Amino acid sequence: MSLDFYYTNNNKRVVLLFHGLTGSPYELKKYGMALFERGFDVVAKSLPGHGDDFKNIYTTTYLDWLNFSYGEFEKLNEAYDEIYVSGLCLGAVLALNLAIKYPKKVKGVVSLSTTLFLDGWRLPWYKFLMPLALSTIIRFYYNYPECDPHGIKNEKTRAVIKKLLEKGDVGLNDFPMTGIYELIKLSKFVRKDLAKIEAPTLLIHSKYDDLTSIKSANLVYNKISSKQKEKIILDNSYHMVLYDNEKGFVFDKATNFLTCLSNASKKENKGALLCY
Amino acid sequence: MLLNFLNYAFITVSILYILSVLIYKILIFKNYTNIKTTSFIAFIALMLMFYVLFAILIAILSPYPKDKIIMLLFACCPFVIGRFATYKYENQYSLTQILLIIVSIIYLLKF
Repeated sequence: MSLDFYYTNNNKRVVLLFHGLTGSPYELKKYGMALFERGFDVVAKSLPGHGDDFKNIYTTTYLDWLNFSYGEFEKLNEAYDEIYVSGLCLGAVLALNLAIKYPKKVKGVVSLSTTLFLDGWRLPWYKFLMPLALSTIIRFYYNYPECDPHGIKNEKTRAVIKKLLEKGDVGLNDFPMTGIYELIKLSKFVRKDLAKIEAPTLLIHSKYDDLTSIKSANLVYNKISSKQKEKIILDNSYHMVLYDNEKGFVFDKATNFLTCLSNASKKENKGALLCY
Repeated sequence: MLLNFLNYAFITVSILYILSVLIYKILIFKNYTNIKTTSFIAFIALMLMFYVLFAILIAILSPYPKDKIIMLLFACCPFVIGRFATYKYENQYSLTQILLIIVSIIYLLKF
């Protein structure tokens, strides 16, 4: 069952969305709809290794994710005047990478729960073994099962997502170490070129993110060269900021930021308008 | 004295590593997303960590240059195998890792 979506009203501006590791476009649907309602076309597709057969994640590399993101971007580049990128977790890293790869074409970035380091509070007691496990054969043995809080602070939402995950309808119910290994390689690949990002960037990250601490958002914020950059720290959510207690606030901030950028780009004095 | 202790410790963790990988492969593989089995895999990782650590310490303390080099090579092996291992050939790489650990035990018993 494909969870990909493409909301279009033949607008001239589009937002390319990327989901997180072991997730699916399902997690972006409401966010995508909020953007669509503000006059953006929206595209979200399953990343390589994620779609119908989740077993593919074991053989997917970060280069597959990168090439997929480049391919999707190139397709949109032929049809749209303004392209914005956004993503959650792994998707945020891919969005940032597109801003590095296409500095003139990416008009703005919204990076949610950017995962450059796996250092959240939910990680198990044996996390100190992770570097060793990742660099040896052990990474093929290990799957970390999704467990409470599932990246969600809101208990009602958590219960719903938990049921969906158990059915396997909206994502993988555990984190394969091979996927984490590739995410860390992608993170290293992107980190070295963060200073090349000049596109306006909005970073949203929870102070209590259970998977990745605010160190990731701080690093991006401090390293990128964008003149317009903003970092918002949430204090009533965990990793899945698009589902959690502050999702309305996140939708508002992200849609306002992108709408403002789009309006600014149409004016002669573009760049003078600060979209915070 | 310390070198002797390290030799025994090295052999012990090597055997524990081999046994735990075999248990994992034979008994646990089909049910490996359970939280208890992931703790068991953490134990395997811990044994491998001690294997590398003891191999390095033996290399440092050994008086013979040849033994130093060989023990350092054994310490590097898990990372070299990890670098080249693929999901498709995971069983073959796991077996190679076990065989190299057995060779390292035999080498240690001889020197």
